[in-house]
Amino acid sequence: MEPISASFIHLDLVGVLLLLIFGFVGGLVSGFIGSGGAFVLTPAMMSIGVPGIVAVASNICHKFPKALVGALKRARYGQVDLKLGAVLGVSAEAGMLYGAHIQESIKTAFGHAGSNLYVSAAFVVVLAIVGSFVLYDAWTVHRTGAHQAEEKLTRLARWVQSLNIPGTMIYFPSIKTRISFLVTIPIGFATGMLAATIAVGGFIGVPAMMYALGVPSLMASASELVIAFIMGVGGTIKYGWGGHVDIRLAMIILAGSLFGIQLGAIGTTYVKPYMVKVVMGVIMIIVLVSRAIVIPVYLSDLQLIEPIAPENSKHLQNLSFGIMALALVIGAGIILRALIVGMHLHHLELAVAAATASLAARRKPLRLSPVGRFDHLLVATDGSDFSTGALRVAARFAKRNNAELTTMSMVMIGLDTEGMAADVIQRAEAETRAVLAAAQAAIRADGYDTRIELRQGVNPHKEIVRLADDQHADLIVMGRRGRRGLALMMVGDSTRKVIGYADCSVLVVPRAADIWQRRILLATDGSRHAERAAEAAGQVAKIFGLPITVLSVLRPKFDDVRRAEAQLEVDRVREALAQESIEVDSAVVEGVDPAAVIIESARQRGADLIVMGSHGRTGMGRLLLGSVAEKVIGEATCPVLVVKA
Amino acid sequence: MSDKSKYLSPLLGFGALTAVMYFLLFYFEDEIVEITGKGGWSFLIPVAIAFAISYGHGNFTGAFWDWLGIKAKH
Repeated sequence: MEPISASFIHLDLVGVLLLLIFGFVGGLVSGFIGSGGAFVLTPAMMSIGVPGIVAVASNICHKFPKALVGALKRARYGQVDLKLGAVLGVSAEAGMLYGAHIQESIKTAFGHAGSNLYVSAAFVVVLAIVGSFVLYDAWTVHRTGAHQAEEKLTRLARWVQSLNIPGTMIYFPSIKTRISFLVTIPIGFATGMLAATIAVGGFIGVPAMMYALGVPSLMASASELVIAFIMGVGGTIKYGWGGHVDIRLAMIILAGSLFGIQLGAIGTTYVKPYMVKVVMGVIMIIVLVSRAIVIPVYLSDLQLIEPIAPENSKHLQNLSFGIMALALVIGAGIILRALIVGMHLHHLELAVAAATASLAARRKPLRLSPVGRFDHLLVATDGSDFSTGALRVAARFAKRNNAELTTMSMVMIGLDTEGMAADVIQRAEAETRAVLAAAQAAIRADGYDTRIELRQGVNPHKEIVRLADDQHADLIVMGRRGRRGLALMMVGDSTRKVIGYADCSVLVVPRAADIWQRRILLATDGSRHAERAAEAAGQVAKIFGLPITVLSVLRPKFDDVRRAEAQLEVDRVREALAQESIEVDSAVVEGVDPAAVIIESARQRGADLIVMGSHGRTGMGRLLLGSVAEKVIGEATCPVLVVKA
Repeated sequence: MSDKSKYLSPLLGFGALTAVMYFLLFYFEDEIVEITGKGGWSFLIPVAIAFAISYGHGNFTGAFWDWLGIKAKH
């Protein structure tokens, strides 16, 4: 008689490479979901000429060392319940022997086609029931967004855990309670039977642990590796005794699969637990399709249906194998993607934690400066309607703070004016004096007083800034041009330039605005001028006894580090203001258009003064106010205080 | 010691051990295939080989991913 070893094939390079790749992908899936990586290996080996029994034997022989390495790795992550795996493994061993016995009986009675039909039918029935349930469960978790929530016990698991059969109770760490080992026997037995039938016992073992015993999914998939190890050793002894194990094949697959199983095990530490269900469910459903496709072939072989042409049978079988391999590739793809995304997020989390710690260590708590009390205010008017709001607010601010108030206006003397008759200039000057007198009268009518200043010059902004410097003004108050057409888009040219060149803060007041009475909104971006803005907002809040909302706007493109910094900065400003006994709240809001977010937040919170920092640039940069500040000033319906750093 | 160099010695050590074991497996390929093909108690040989290689290669592959910086999240 020919020795069995004569059926061991000669290995070529392509065959070896294929086995390595299949081994790696299968290992990746097994490392992640506990099993399921081996079912393509038997047909894959057969496709390169390995006889069926040798393929099955060699597959099992590579599974137990793979499961051992995977179980050890995942035990290091605290995911393995060794006791549960061992208890289930013992009954699985019995189930496997019984499953193999049934297989042999069917083969004797109905031949090769009968055996294949039984295997395919087992695939389809088990995978349809369990696979759709697992996938539905994963979908429910995904849909409800309960990714982080603790996995819920099924009614069946609650009932199993409530059973108390004296003398049979065992404590399992993964379930954190005692259950009767009598319950584990059918589960292990079914797992073993399925392993003997379709080479993937875990498709019953893992869902049964999750749904019938209440084991968390990550621990179920890890403990399945213990069962796979026990069954693998048993299977190897059984087939090895018959001389069917080609150890070369097994070790080549192992060479690839150990890389895979390590990576799959690492992957479980980065993903949310429900991903185990997603991968398992997806693979199960695709494999179901692959096995359903070939059922007509076996029915035809058994002459239960009209015969199928041999070439069509071959095509269906090739298609079935292709889909089965695809299931594994898709499963591996989901795992790798989850691993890459998980690692990326983890690195970001670490970077955020490091940045937050370093920021917290580097930045001292903010202390509000006692200086800059708005003791001297300068309000500029051109006599137009646009100045009425500025005059009203300046007068009421000064009155409330008992501050010195100067109202200024100017006569424009330019190159073209010099050629004019003296009476024209005098008339212009008289008109400006009248404007100032009217302003003074209005302020007096409001119960306060103001000094008036008339200046002559070419550029309004230069005269305003010069006067503010001369008088050591703490604040310049100006009106805002109209809110229609171009004026809506642009802050008046003079206003922009005053903000750019003045050393003190500038308050821009829309025509209809009045003094603030409800709330101050402080927009902060964590910069140096934002600190000054916080100090100014604090001063105003104390003068008027108003609450402050500290707001930071995040653009969607900001990374996690920048978001963490923004939150930290907002907290820091809030704490500093709270220490000054100011009522303060804060918000970090995301938006594409920060100016629109600031204006909308002010409206929603009933804020009637917005405080912002200004860059305080030098040179040409002085002319650039910053698009956010300019838009807020241009569109806000309340006064906007621009604080210079 | 940098993170990478920490994993270099187990990587090289277990890599060499694995290479030697695979070399021996295929160097004595014919003898091993003949003995294990006989069945019976010779099943101990594939089981022993599988355990030995899983130790060497398991540690090597573990060190390999560590060395690449692909480590479990703690």
